[in-house]
This record gives sequence, C-alpha cells and structure tokens, in this order.
Amino acid sequence: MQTGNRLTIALPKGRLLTKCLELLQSAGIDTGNVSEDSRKLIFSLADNGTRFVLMRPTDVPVYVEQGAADLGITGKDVLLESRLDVYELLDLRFGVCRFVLAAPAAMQDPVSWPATPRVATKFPRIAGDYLQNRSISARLIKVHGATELAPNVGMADMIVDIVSTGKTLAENNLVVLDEIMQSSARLIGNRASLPLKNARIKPILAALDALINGRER
Amino acid sequence: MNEMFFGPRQATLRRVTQQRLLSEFAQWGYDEISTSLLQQLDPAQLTDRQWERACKWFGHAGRIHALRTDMTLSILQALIKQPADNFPERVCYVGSVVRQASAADSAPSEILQAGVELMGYGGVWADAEVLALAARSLESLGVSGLRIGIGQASFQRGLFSELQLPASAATVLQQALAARDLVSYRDIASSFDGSTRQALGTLPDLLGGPEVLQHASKLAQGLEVTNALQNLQDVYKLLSSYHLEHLVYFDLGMVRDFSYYSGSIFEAFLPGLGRPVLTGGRYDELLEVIGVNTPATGFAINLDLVVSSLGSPEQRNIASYSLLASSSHELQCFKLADTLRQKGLLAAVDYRPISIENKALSAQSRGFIPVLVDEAGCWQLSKEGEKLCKLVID
Repeated sequence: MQTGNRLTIALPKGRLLTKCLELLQSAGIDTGNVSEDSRKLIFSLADNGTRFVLMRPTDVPVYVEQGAADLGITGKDVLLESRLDVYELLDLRFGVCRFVLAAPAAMQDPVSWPATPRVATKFPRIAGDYLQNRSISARLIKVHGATELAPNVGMADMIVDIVSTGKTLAENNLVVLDEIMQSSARLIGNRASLPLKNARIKPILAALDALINGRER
Repeated sequence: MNEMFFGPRQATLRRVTQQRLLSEFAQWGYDEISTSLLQQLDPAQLTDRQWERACKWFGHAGRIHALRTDMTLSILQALIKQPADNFPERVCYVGSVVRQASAADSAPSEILQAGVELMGYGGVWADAEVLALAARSLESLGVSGLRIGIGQASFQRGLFSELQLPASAATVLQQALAARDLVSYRDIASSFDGSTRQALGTLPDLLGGPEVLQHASKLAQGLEVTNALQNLQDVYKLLSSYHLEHLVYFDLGMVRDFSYYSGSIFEAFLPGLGRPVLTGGRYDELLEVIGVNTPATGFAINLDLVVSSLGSPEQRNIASYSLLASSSHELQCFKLADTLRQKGLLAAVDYRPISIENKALSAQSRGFIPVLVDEAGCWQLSKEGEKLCKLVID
C-alpha cells in the first residue's frame, strides 16, 4: 500500500539496471545508492520521499498495476507478454532487441515447412499473436530459456526469440526468417498514481522526455 | 478461479457498506432494482471486448447464455421490456458481475458493484447530479483522499474530426489511449505535421484542474469541442455549489474501456488502491443500440475495493452472551438463550465437549461474555473460567 505522497519506482534487476540508473541520473533524478551489489531490494531516499525497489523485469508491471509502485522500468517484450493494465509512458530507447522468427537454414523457404510447424518460444503471447496475424497454423511450445536449443535437438521446427547481435543464432546454425518487432525499455506508470501524484510524476516524465526526445512538455 | 471468502466481521462490513450506499442513493430518489445473474447474449449488441469477457455457454436452440458482465447493460435490457410509461428515471443496484480475464491464462473474476443510473434526461444537470452523488456516496463511507477525474468522449471525437484525421488513424489513436499506450500514441501523433501533431501531442497532457479546459480550448474551436468543454466548465461550476470542486480534476485523454460512452466519463480513485474505485459516464449510444432513445448517465462502485480501504470492521455493539453448557445443564442453557434473545440481547450456546476454561477463552476471543449455568444459577465468568458474579435475569 502506498501512503501519502511518497513515490515508489520499480527497477529491473539484471542487465537493464545499470542503464536505468545512468539514464535517471543524467535526467537529474537522484537514485541514491541503488545498486545490485548489496542484497537490499528497497532503497529509500530520505530527502524527497522517493523509494526505489528492485525486482525481476517480469515483476515490474505486476507491482505497477497493483499500485505497489507508481512508476517502473521494464522491456516492451515484458509488457506485451504480461498484458497488464498500466500506462506505457515513454520509450527509453535502451535495451533494444529484435523479436524474430528463426529456423535452421534448410527451412528458409516456407515450402519446406511441415504442415503444422512446432515453434519453441519464451514468449507464447507475442509468438501466438504474430503467427495468427500471418495466418500460420503452428503448435507453440513454451520453454524458459536457451530457445535456440529446441530446433537442434528436434523438439521444434522454428523459434520465436529476442536477438540483439544475432551471434547466438549463428552459433546454433539458425537464420532469421522474419522480423517480428523491436523491443526496448519503457517507463510505465500506475493508473491511479498518474492523477493522484501528478505533481511528483510530471517533472520526472518531463526530464526524461527532454533527455531522450528533446521534447518540451 | 478467483474465489472469494469473507470472514464473519468482513462480511458484515461488506453488507453495512452496501446498505450505507443504498441509503445514500435512496436519499437522492433512486429506487433499488435487481436483475438476474443469468443473461441471454445477443452478439450483435456487444462490442468485441464485451463479448470476449463474458463467461458464456450454449443453451437450448443455439441460444447463448452468459453470466452478467455489466450491470448497466443488464438493467437496460430488463427495463426496455417494461411498458414505456413505467420506464423509471432513477434506479440503483447492488449486484455482482463476472468477467473473463483478458489474459488467456488468468481465471474469471467476480466483482460486486453498487451503482446508479439516471435516465430520461442528459446534459449538464444529469452529469452534475451523478458526479455529486458519486462523491457524496463515497464520502458517506468515511473514506479520505478521494479524487474524481472527469473526461469527455465527445471532446476527443470533436478534436479528431476537426483535425480531419483519417478514420483509421482516429481509431488507432483511440485504441492506443484506451490501452494507456502513450508511446504508440505519440508515435502515431508525430507522423502528422504542424498543428495536428502539436494538438494530438498535447491531448494526453490535459490532466489537472480547471486550467486544463483553457489549454484545451486552444487546440480546436469547432462546435463539438466547444460544447464538450462548456459542459465540463458547467459541471465544475455546479459541483462547486456543492463544495465538491476540490475533489475534481479533468483528464481529457481519458478513454473508457466501454465504447458505449458518449459524453462525460469519469473515474474515482482513493490513495493506495492503484485502480479506480468508481467508473461511470454518459452512455446515450448504448441505449440506441438496444433500442431506447433516451439519454442516460450512471456509475458503478467496485464495492470490495472500497471496503478494503475502510479499515477494521466494527465490533458488535449489543451485549452478547455465550452460554457454556456443561453436560448436565444443556436444557437450562437452551431455554436461557431464548429468554435473553426475547430481551433483545444476543445469545449463543456452546455445546462443544470441551472444558469450561476453553469455552470461556473462546467466548472472550469472539467478543462474547461467557456465562456458566449450574445448580446454583447463572454466573458470569472471567476469561480464565472463574466465576466473577451471579447473573440475574428478571
């Protein structure tokens, strides 16, 4: 539960965290001593009633939707996969990666596909929506990591996954069949916090927007 | 399944809250009505979203049955079957709706709603009455920090048509606003030039006090936009006369999930809850779809969400006795309980085969006065099970 006028910001642990902190600091937002080095998960700034909480990227929209955090930063991929009711406020333009459909080189021509290809993915909703939009009837197989393994052991015919450099795909003899979409980090906000804490949120939004887009509000 | 359970005190608080709301609604002349949880669905009358979130199944002769997903829809469908001269002006209700979650892997949920519908006339008087009732009924529950946001569906529609947006772009922009996806919204907005881009970009920022209406009036000057802003201005003035203006803010980027809203739309928040406790608005177009040509405005309160902000439930406030029956005095207890109840007191007998000490402790913990009945008469006990004094019942 949030009380008073304190602002809680949910940040993703892992590879996005350093970039998040750099961005917030260059926008002039105090992040105190937030870091992943200690085991601490809550960092309160004494002076202005702001608090940072660290969590897995997939949990960020959950905390924000429930109102346990007012703002949060996580990937577009996470938002699309969770489909929770939060404001998507700003594209932060880092953590950029592409969603692709990939398969062994022999499958480059759709004629060589089986009637119902098996598609392994960590992102069943994104993959499902894409396949449905392309009218590809396929069977989705949900995995939790190392998706590129699936075609190499014959569990799946193709995969839907995120790539940043494409190195992992090449190492596993996979080629990109289609680009699905791009993902990057987003600033998200709780539905009630935006009106109730507008005076606290507006300056943060304006500073980030000016920094990233050179846009004045 | 998202199952719900309310323990003894919570269930009472929930019931008391419903009664307080219904009595506030009644004071404003709203009559309580009740509709069936079972509905027959006509897909032609529903938006995609309403269709998707209905828990439905096929019945006899290919009819589609569903659990009630929306109180307003169910009330209007029931009312249009009534003779026209019986069509009421003001109705209120308490009832549950059941909705399929939007995500395929989540369970349906049951939401208890309390609300009102004002039918037969529209315009600023109806908007102001329903908004004032929304504020007063929530305030009657003793909540603090209430804020009510007001938007205008016709402001957006007017703005989009004045900017001469292609219909497809207007739809995509509205979908982005409804999904609260301001990134996509701004991306589409920035594909336009000059003043169009500027006006579209400003829309989501039109959130705040009455000064927002001044900013908004600079974006467009057409009739629909001017009327929409005038309506908000007038509503604000009327709410001020009830001293409610401090609760109100404007949010012109607001889009309701239901496409049936046509004029003013609103939502109310309480601190710490993360979701609106009340949503509502004008929905004249819904009535046209189901074949009634009359304006209507209403709101629904998410009752359990409000109750969760109300703090601890009240204790019983009448003297309550727990009669501790020993194995030889059950009949005396059974009769004594009736005597006490006839006097308007609360009495329950503990017949369990456990020690008197344990019964006394259990009675205390539930707010009962422990009373022992034996050969010598009735005794009020301490929570340790010791006789405190003789209980005289005349």
